[in-house]
Order: sequence, then C-alpha cells, then structure tokens
Amino acid sequence: MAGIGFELRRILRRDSYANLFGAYGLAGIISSGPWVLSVLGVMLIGIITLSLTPAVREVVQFLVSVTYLMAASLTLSGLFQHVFTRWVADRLYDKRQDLILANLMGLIWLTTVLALLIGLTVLALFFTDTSVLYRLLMLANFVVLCNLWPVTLFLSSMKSYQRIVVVFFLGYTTAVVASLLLAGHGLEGLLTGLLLGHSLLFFTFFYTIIRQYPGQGFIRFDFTRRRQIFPALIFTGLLFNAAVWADKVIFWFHPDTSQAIIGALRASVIYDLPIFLAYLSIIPGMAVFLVRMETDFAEAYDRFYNAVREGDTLQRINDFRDQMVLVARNGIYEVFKVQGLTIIVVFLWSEEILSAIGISPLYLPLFHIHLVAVGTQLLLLSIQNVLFYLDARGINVILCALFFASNILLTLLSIQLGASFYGYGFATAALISVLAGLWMLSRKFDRLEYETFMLQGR
Amino acid sequence: MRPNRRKAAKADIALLLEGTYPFIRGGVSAWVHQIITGMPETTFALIFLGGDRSHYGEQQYTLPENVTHLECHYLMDTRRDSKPSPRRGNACAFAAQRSLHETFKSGEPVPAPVLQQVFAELGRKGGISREDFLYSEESWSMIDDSYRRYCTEPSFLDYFWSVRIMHAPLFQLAEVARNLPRVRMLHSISTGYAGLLGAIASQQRGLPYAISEHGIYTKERKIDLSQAQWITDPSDLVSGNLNEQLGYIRRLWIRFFEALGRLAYHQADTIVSLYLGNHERQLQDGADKARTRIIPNGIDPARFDGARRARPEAIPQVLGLVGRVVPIKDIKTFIRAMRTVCDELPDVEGWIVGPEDEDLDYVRECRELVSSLGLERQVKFLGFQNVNDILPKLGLMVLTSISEALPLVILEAHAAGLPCLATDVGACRELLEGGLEEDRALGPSGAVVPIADPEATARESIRLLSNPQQWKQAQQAGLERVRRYYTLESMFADYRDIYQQGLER
Amino acid sequence: MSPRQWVVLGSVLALLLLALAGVVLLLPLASHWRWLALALLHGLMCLLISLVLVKALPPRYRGQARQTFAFLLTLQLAIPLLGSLGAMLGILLALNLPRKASDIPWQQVPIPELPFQPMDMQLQTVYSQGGLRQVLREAGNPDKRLQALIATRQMHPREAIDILREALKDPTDDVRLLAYSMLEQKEKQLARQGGLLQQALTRETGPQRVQTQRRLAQIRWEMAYLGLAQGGLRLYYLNQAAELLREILVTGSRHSDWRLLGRVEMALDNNLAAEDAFTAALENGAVAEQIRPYLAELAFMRRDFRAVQSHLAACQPDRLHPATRPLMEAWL
Repeated sequence: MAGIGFELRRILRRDSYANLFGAYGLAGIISSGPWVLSVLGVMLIGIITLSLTPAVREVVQFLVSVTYLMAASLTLSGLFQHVFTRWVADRLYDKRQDLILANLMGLIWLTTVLALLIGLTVLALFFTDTSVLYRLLMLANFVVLCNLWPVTLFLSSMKSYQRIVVVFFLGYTTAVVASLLLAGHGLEGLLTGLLLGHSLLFFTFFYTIIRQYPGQGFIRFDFTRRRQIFPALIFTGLLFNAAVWADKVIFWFHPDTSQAIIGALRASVIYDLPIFLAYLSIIPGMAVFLVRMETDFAEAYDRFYNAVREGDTLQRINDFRDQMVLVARNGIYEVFKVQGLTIIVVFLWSEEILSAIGISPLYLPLFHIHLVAVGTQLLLLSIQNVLFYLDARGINVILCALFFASNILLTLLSIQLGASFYGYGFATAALISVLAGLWMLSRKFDRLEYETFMLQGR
Repeated sequence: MRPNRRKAAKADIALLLEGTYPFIRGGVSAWVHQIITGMPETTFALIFLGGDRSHYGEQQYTLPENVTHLECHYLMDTRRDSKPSPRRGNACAFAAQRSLHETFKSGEPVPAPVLQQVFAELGRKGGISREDFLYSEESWSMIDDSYRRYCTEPSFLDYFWSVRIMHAPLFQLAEVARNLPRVRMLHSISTGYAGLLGAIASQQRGLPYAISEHGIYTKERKIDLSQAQWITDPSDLVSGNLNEQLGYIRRLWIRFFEALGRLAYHQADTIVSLYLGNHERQLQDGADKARTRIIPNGIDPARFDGARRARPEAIPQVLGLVGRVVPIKDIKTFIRAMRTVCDELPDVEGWIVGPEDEDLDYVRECRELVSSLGLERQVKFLGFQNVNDILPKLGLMVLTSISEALPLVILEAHAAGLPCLATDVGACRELLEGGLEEDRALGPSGAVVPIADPEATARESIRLLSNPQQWKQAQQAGLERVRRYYTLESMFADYRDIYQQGLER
Repeated sequence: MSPRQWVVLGSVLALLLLALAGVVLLLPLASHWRWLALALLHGLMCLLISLVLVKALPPRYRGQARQTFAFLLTLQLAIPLLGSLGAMLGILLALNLPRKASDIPWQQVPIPELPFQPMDMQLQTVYSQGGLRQVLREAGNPDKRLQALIATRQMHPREAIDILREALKDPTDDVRLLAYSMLEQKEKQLARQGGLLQQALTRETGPQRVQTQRRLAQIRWEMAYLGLAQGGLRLYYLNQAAELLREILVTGSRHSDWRLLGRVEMALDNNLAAEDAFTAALENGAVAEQIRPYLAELAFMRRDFRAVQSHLAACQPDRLHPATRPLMEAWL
C-alpha cells in the first residue's frame, strides 16, 4: 500500500521550498481534513440557516445536539479505537489479512448494538419532552457517527488519507445542501440533512472497505479474544476522549456556566464558541506532526527494529535508537515551534477574527487561553503517538488517566475561582500531562534496548 | 557402614545421569545397570537430566531393588518461563559472575570463595534468580558489556539468545541441587550438565563426588558444535581467502561446555576414565592427575557361554552391527561397505541390531541409503534384540562408530566367540589388538579400520569372513583377552573401593 | 433460487412496503397508530432486506448466516431507510462488481545500507590451498590441524573433500571426528536431494520424469565426481547415472546429456562408450570447445597422438576453459 508517508517523502525529496509547502499543505489537509470539514460543515449549516430563517432557537438546538452527538460518539468509539487498530496491525504482521474485513464487520455490529442500547436508554429517560421524530433522528445519527469513526480510523490506519478527505468533502457537501433544502422543516429537517450526509459518508467507507479488503467469511469476533488484545488500549481510548471532553461537559452542566437547550441537553455559550474556534488553529501543528511521524519517525523506527530483528551489531542498534530519539525530539519540538508561532499569529489577529465571525470581544481572554490549551493538547497527542509506536501501553494509560483526572479537578477549581480563570483548568491539565509525558517518554527511550530485549513478550 | 547415618539418608550414592539410564538404551546405560545390580549392598538414588521431555519415551530398564529414588528433570522445557517483569537485579551477585567469567577466560582455576558464592547464589532470591537472569537490568548490562568487549560477530540478536539459552538450564540445575534427596556421595556419569550438578551439590553440601566418563563429553560437544546447523556463521563472501575462523557463537558454546567440564573436574574427588586415551584427554582438559584413575569396563564371560555353544560350525555369512541407530555409530558407512561386500560375496547379509527410536531422521536417512544402493534384500534392520540370541547368528561383529569409548558390545562379542571389526576410535584398537605387551601377544581378535572408510571396512570383512583359519584365531584371541583383562569382578572391585573411600570420609 | 432472483424478489417486496408506508403517511391516522404502523413496516422491510442480502452474498461470505443476518438487521433497524439503502448498495455492489487489480504496480525501495562491521582480517590466519594441506600433514599441534580443517569450508567442494578424506586418517581423534562430520554434512545434502528425486520418480511420468531423471543422474555423478563415494560405491553411483542417462537419451537427444554420459563412461573406464557419447554430443550440437578436450584425452589414452592434435586444433583458443589452454598450446 502506498502510504501517505511515501507520497510525502517523494515530495520532500525534490528539495525546494515550494515542494516543502506542498508537502505540509497536503499533510495539513489530510491530517486535519475530516474534523475540520465536520466542524466547518456543521457551522456552515448553522450560519447559513441562521441567515435564512429567524428560528434562532432551533438552530442553536441543532448545533448543541450535534455537539453532543459528536462528543458521545467519539467517546464511545474511543473504546475500540486503539485496541482494534492494534489488533489489525498484529494481524497484518501475522499475514492474516483475510481476517480483517470480517472482524471490522464484527466491530461495526458491536458498535451498532452498543450505540443502539445506550441511545435508546438515554433518549427514553432524558428526552421525553421532545418529538418522536427528533428522538429517532438523534438515535440514527448517533449510530451512524459511532460507526463512522471506527471506519475512518481503519482507513487512516491503512493510510488511505486522500480517499478519506475526498469522501468527507462529498459527505459534508451533501449534508450542507440537504440541510438547507430541508431547513423549512425546522430542527428535524436539519438533522435529517445531517443524517443523509453522515450516512453517505459511512456507507461509502463501508463500500470502499469491503471492496478493498476482501477476506473469508462475513463477520467474525476474533478481536474480542482476550489473548489477541491489550485491555490497556481500551482504557487509553476511552480515557483520552473522556479527558478531552471532560472540561466541556463540566461547563455544560455546571449551573453557573450553562443553560438548558433541548431535552436534557445544556450548553455553555461562553465556553463552547471560543474553544471550537481554537481547535481550528491546530491545523498547522497537525500538518507538521503528520509529516514528522509518517516520514522521519516511522523511518527511524523501522530502522531500529529492523536492526534488532535482523541481528545487527549492538553499536548500530544503539545508534539507531539515538537517531530515533533525535527524530522524535525534533518532531515534538517542531510541533511546538510551529504551533507556538501559529498561536502568536492568531493572538495578534484574534480581535479581528472574532469580530469577523461576529463574536463579542468579551470572549477574547478565553479564546487566548484556549489557543494555548489546544496547542498543548496537540503536543500531548504527538507524545502519545510516539509512545504508541514504542508499544508503551502502560504509560499511555497513565497519561490519559492523569489528563482525565487533572482536567476534571482543575476545571472544577477554575469555575470556583471565577470567570477570569475559565479555560485555565483545561490548559493546566494539558500542560501537566505533557510534562509528565515528556518525562516518561525520555525514560522509556533510555531503557529502550533493555526493555526490547530483556522484557520481550511482556 | 554405620547404620545410624544410613537411616537418615535416602540413598548411599546419587547417580547423576545425563540423557542415558534408565530411559535410553546403550552402552553407558548397560554399564550403569551393571554397576547397580553388581553392588546390591549399596543403595542408589537416580537423578536423570534430559533435554526436551518429548525425546524420552518409556523407561527402558526395570530398576533393581537397591534403587531407592528416581527423579527426572528436563532442561530444555520452556514452559516454566514466567511473564517478564522489570527488575534491577543484585549488583553484588552479578559482580561475582563477572569475576567468574573473567577466570574462565583466563583459563586459571576458579578460586574457591568465588565458586562458593556463585553456586550459593545461583537460582536464589537474594542472589541471581532465574528471573533476575532473564529480566534484570544488571543482567542486561552484563550481556551488553560482554558483547561489546568480546563478541567479534555482528549479530547482537544471535549473541543475546545464545547467552540466554546457554545459561537458562543452570538455574534449574541449581534448584535440582538444592532439592536433591539426602545422599552420602555423588557420582556423575559424564561432565556437562550432570557434572555441573555434581559440582554444585558437592560444593553446597560438602559431599564426596566422583565422575566416570565413558566418552569425553566436552570433546563430543565440540564436534557437534563445530558443525551444528542451528548456529549460523557470518559469511565472508568478499575476501575469497581461506581462513580458520570459527564463528564467535560456536566458540562461545564450546567454551561454555569446556568451562562446565573444568568446574566438574575441580570439584570431583575421583575422576575415572575407561582407557589410556581418554585419561590423557582428561588431564589435558584440566583434571588433576592425582585424582584420576583408569577403570576399564568388564563383563561376566560366563553369561555368554550359552551363546558361544549355540554357535554353528560354519561361519554365518552375516555382518552384524549392534548399536543404536544414531549418527555417531555411522551406520551409513556400514551400509556403504555392504554395497562393496555384496559385489564380491552376494550371499552376505548385513544386520543392524539396535533401537531406532532416538534419531528418527537419521533412521530414515539410513533406510533411504539402503534403498538407493539397492540393498533392500541384504541389509536388515532388526531393532532391539537380545544379544545372547543374536550373537550366535553373526559371522562378524562390525562397529563403524566415529566415536566410542570402550564399547561393551566388543567384549560381549568376544565372550560369545565372535571376532570383531571396529574403527580406530576410543579403546577399540586396545580391545582388538591388545594394550600391554602380553596382551598383544594374544594376537588380533579382529580388525581395525579407519573411520568412515567403507572400502577398508568391506575389504577386512571379506578377508575375515572368507578365511576360516584367521577367523578361528581371532575368536580364540578374543575369548582369552576378555577372560584375562575385562571381567566384571575387577571393575566392581575398583568401584567398591571408590565408594568405600567416599562413604567413609 | 439464484442470488439474482432473490434480489429481484426482495426489491419488489421492498417497493411494496415503501408504497404501504406512503399510504400510512397519507391516511388520517392518530399519531401513535401511525408510528406503530410505520415501525411495523420498518421492521418488515429490515427483515426482508437482511434475508435477501444474506442469500445474495458471494459463497465464501455465506459462512455464519445467522450472525450475518443479525448484523444486517441491527444496522438497518438503527438507521431507518438509509441503513437499508446503504447496506444493499454497499454490500451488493462491493462484493459482486469485479475488482480491479491493485493500483500500485510497483513500490519504491530505499537503497539498503551496507551491513555490519568489516571482518578483522588481522586476527585470522589466512591459508593458501597448498599451505593448508601442509598444515594438516605437518603441524604437530592438533588445534592447528583442526583450524586448518575448518578453513576448508571456504574451498571448492571437490578439493575440500580430498583434504577431509586425508584428515580421516589423522592420529588425533578430534581431527578425525571433525573431518568426518564435515564430510557427512556435505554428503547428507546430496543424498537428501537424491532421495527426494528418487521418490519423485516413482510417481512422475512424461517430460517431467525425464527432467527428474536428468537431475538424479547429475546428483549421482556429483557424488562420484566430488569424491564423496569411493570404490564399489562410486562404481554403483556411476553405473546408476549412466543407466539413467541412457534411459533419457532414448526419448530424445540432448547434447548436454550425451556429454554427461561421456564423462560418466570415462570415469567408469569405458573409453569406447565414452568416445561414442562425446561424438553423439558433437552431432547433437555441442560446442566443440566443450567436447573436444575430452575426445583429445581419450585419444591420448589410446596413444593416438595425431587425433589428440586434431581435436585440440578444432578448438578456438579463446573459447577454451583457461585451465586447458596451456595444454593446447603445448600440443599445437
């Protein structure tokens, strides 16, 4: 499979600034494409409908519903995110490609059943005052989204980035167009449009996967066998997504910072808007991160483990380890530099940006701290990625747990301290986790050969 | 023997057996069985050490009354491996290991205190446990260090695994030594792992320790290892020079077994060999001359009177190879010789008499050779047979081994009135041509040929089979030689003496 | 029914259900009755389509029909309408349309680095071939002789085997044993190949059999040529090779077979037969330079020096094996 790494390296080899920008541009699109498109798509639906109809309340209900759908589906599919990716990687290593498709089907079924059960329960308990159609649409949207993330992840771990970006673009175009056409039917119309787009996305990926990865049998559950999976990865996936959403959820449900929107859903306008805007700022950092991880680090990593496997001298194994450390350090440092620069630039223009979108300058301080916080979160993501490469599952769970716990505690603390501290909880939690992550990563690298050789099969 | 001490101990002598009695048939096993049955007044505990459990089938011998204990340990069992977990390891214990390895490299005798500490700490929680060796940081730093300083071969991976596989059994041995039943003396029937077990147990418990070597363990290992296919050598395809280089990993293994041998020799009070050749070899490998003895094997000639009387008047036109079907017996040379013999004397048959369950691949290869040489009619595999039944039916005993010590089958054949043809290995020449002056005067009791020489083997076989006068002379010389020099009684007397000394110390 | 018929039937029924749903929407029903009717129709539709899909799967996916059915049903129940549409299109199209070959016909592979550290030649004794033999014969120290033996591993097998045979008579046990096991290993390899080929012969027929016979003959020849077999055994192998070759040559003449037969006959001292075989090789198109030197040798052995000269003269010097060139120069 021609991975994106391969593509990027080819562009980079031509050695000119134009190419360099080309490479980073491509990386930017493919690394952050799906979620930028989904954020932009949903916002676009909101903004355009807002300009068309006077039904502000319904549009807000729509936006909040979608946000909850995203948060809940990401957290739920986070359960399987790493554990299944790892399972696939192991089977590829065993040369058992034929098992993959059937197990992906198994995963989709498991997710569907889980999503259906959870969705039905929550909708039955907390949404009694909403229309049946709304509840049905929410349920369908939830199931589709819960399934969409695993298949997207699967395709991206198969390095089919271009395909993902193209399909996402098509899917959200459909969603926007359909929502606008159905906007006359209010909240339900908008949700139907979105469901159309997401369904198109999901079933297109579904189709692509069935077509590209044939195998024996239609549905299997090998990935649930205890001997083939690592439970630590389940916790990592769950905790990381939970940690990322923890501060938002707290703000949504804290009486001081939120208001009821629809059913049991609440939102925190002052917190939500700046943070979703801030998330758009990590595109450059993501691009750098992808280029470094997919090209340099993956290469250095392969060199090291090939040297180990194929019986190189210890001297060279050490050298390759050092090179790998250097590449990882440079990569993280580069993410830091680029993201830092981006933050500074956005800082300088932040007032103009907010006013251009029509958001009150009162949100400015919160926007600033959120910029720093999401940048730090990106660093954490890079560190975790290196740790995944090194198969440091235990460390990753600890990091996620730390991020989760500190985010909850510090966010609650920040709400106690008052409005001027909003956002600092999340930022500090991310910073603490990054520092802890750096320390643990460096220790991991120090003991890499010892652990690789002496503790293999752990 | 004082009864009060005897009551406390499970047995008088612990026999340490590596890959032989009572699970494998063969010369050494037969010898062990003889010793046990020949000394009914002494009790024995048997400690059997094997490689992989699956290689050993049923027990092949009924244990005599005076065997009071049997325990088996399999050194290549990997099922025992625990789940890896990081640990630091005892720095002090590893320092002792380093100094032990230094002395091994220098070739000097290991100082007693170092040995004591190493043996005491091996496999113990406070010292170096098996897990410490496998997973600790100290252990890693020692491997890392040794590789950098000594290994001349590129692949660290190979080195790493060799070191692991090599040392892992030692921890099991230490455990075996600690759990050994109470005995009053140790007697190992080889060096190698059994020898090391003896050394550890004797060191830990202050027990007297004797070694009897039939072959020379270290030497046999060395030959194996120089050729073993499972070790890959770095290939030097570029230079086109001829060099002597034996891969580092091979040398590492060879040195390992040399060190095991040396440790056992240092610790033993008595070191027995079967004949002069091996005696010299032991001295060369580090045995102290004052503690060595030569005790040849013996048999009871009367046991073969029946077989001798059953012998027909005419010489049976049958060449017999009595021995296990394993590479070291070089059955293939026998089969090849049969090809030439049959060209000359088409009615001659070749019988291969011995168990075939030890090396199935080799048995298959031999059978293939028989069919590829078109000898299906003349060469027969008879499996294990009672010697007394088979000996009268043979016209000549042929032994094509590439390595032997003092083969009992030759003594047995002689006692049954059967001349022998053997390769020039071990004590064969002594047995067939005589050692001392008066022994030589008895004349040859068969013929000696170079190893792996089917031509010479065939030539000499034909000569003896088709020359009744020479055959008769050889028969007489053989009978006389066994009666004079190789009786059981003298062998038992010597071993009684060794045990007596040990038990009364 | 065939899968195609299942799909057609399913689609018809599905359209019917859809129409019914339309009717339900148009009828003036109370809200809860309407929902109930729709739910019922939805359930029916999901059951129907799941059933059809399970029947329409390509054979190798039909394994666990019950689980597949449950999977499809759940997916459709959770996503009304769109789920049915997506599952049908996605699964049927993906599994039944012909797949185009992988879109990556080639892949870029980085230039591998030169591996490992160089050998340190200064630590090693380097022998010449003659020197090696000398060491084996003269060196007093058995270790030296052992090392010399190990060095033969890098020699041409024929010469190595010669030296190893000599070492079998060494006074020291170790040297003999090592030499033996090295010989044994070389022989084992050939014997193994021979055994496999012989087995194959018992079941093969036609052109494949000829090929196997040819290879077996080559291996038998190699056994003798390398000196692994001697005396009666060597004769036995050579005779077998000759027999195999003659059998092949009945079915068709190939000059390389004739040439090998010639060499086998020569080794068997059947000079007349060898001459015939070589002549046949020439007639069947063998290169003169490959055959004439043997003919010259045969002529020499029967003291026909004129023929030696004429055979050698028929060869072009630059196409001759370098080893025979001085011979040619001496004769012409």
